Amino acid sequence: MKIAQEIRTGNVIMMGKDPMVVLRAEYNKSGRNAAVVKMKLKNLLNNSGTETVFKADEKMEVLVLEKKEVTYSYFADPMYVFMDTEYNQFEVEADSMGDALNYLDDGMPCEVIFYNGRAISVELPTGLVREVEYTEPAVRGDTSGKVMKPARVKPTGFEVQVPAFVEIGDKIEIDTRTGEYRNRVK
Amino acid sequence: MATLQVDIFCKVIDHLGDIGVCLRLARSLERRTGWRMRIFCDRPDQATRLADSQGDVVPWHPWPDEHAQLESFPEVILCAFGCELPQGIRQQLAARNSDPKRNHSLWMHLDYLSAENWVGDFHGRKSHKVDGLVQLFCFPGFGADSGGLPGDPPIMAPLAAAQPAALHVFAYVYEHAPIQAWLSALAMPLVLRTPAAIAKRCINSSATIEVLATCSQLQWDKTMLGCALLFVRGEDSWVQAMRSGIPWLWQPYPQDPETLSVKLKALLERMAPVLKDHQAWPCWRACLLAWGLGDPPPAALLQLSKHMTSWQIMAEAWASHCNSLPRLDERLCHMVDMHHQQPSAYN
Repeated sequence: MKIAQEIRTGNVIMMGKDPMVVLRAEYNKSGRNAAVVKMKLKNLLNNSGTETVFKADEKMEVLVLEKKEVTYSYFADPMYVFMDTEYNQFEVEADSMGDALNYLDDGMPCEVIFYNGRAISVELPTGLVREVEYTEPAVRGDTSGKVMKPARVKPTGFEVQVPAFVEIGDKIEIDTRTGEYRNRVK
Repeated sequence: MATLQVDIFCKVIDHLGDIGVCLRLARSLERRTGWRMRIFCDRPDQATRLADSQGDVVPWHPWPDEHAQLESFPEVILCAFGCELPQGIRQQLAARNSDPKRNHSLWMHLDYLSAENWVGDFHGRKSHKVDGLVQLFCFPGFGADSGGLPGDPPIMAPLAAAQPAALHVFAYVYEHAPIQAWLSALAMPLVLRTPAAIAKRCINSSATIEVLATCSQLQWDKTMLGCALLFVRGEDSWVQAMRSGIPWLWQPYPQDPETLSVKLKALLERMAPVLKDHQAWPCWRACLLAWGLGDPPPAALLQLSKHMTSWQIMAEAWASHCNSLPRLDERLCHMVDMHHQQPSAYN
């Protein structure tokens, strides 16, 4: 069992009798150090989608599924194609990619998750490094990291809140579980 | 019209704020809908201190034993602020709601008030549990898509014909708040009305201190509303302060600084459109941010204190806005009505 705040995109949880793959998980702090999580889910049996919320400390039954290390290869609408080291290809439906689409890059390492022999989703590394494609100019003197501004990263244009000192061309590490900036990478 | 039995479950964590919100909500729902309200609390000895023998009809019940079951099962169960149902009642709920021949009870979760935008997206969503139960989440907030604002527009006492010589200040703050420094920065004669634990921290200030005795929630409200400046905290006193039209400063529940900053800034973003044309708004904004983060008083506090009338006008404008927003009890009633598919006598 895991708790809701530990659930990541690509995990498969049981909702009643239905296996549901997590396409997106949004975590927010409510009050008194409590937190809640909203998940976008897809039913693996009938492909129906739903969005549901949980308290962050709620226990969830997570299916342990087969995983395989792969790298991202290409997009053949409507499937995203991944490849393992032996050049075997695995296809994941676009609808099942969830937050992974925010970070997709050629050769990106990740894990494909299988249910009943079918590739159903991808699980990303917890941190990924991406180059800043555009952000407002850095503010001189503010090295506190407390003032944040939006930045778009290559190659997807995904927007991340970054400290004011980050510049275009900087490489930043992003926490893929939350979409938050971690640090600047030299 | 549906006359339902509604049970609220609430636990005392460290202060009485959570049960204070529940009591106010239950009182309002009972008055407006005629629903039969009960509150189950793990510390009924503390909870009954808040009840007013004249104004409260909501009965308090002790927290049930883990495997106990309810003799009279409610049509609605509201779990406040993340508390879990005792196992026996949860099993009772599951058995009832899995039986197609029986009316299913609505199980709800009430979260904390927040000014953040995500609240609207989370509010009203179902939570599907591992055991098959479904819980409906209610997120109070300021937006049209949220669960509404808690509390009641207060009944204000008429203003005194002559303004008192000293500023009457109400202070209900957490342990780490720099209240003495802020009172000193007001630089004027003060009468401070505050509980004993906070009074001890203000003995070196020049304020005349009136220690508040333990009292009911309704009496507490009256005391607060008789003051000219409110230092409030948490949720219940904060909401009543916002609704009152009296100048106020709010201290959120202690959390990490980044989270505090996010929540304070969300509130300020809600207030800005309402108060942007008020010349003194930047001063109030600066004070709200500094007080909320536990910082020393900014120069803006002295400027505000010299222009209390301007501060009061802003507070009244914000109160008018808050009192026009959808109410939590109204929104809850609507959610219950949607589940039972029949209207309540909400008025």
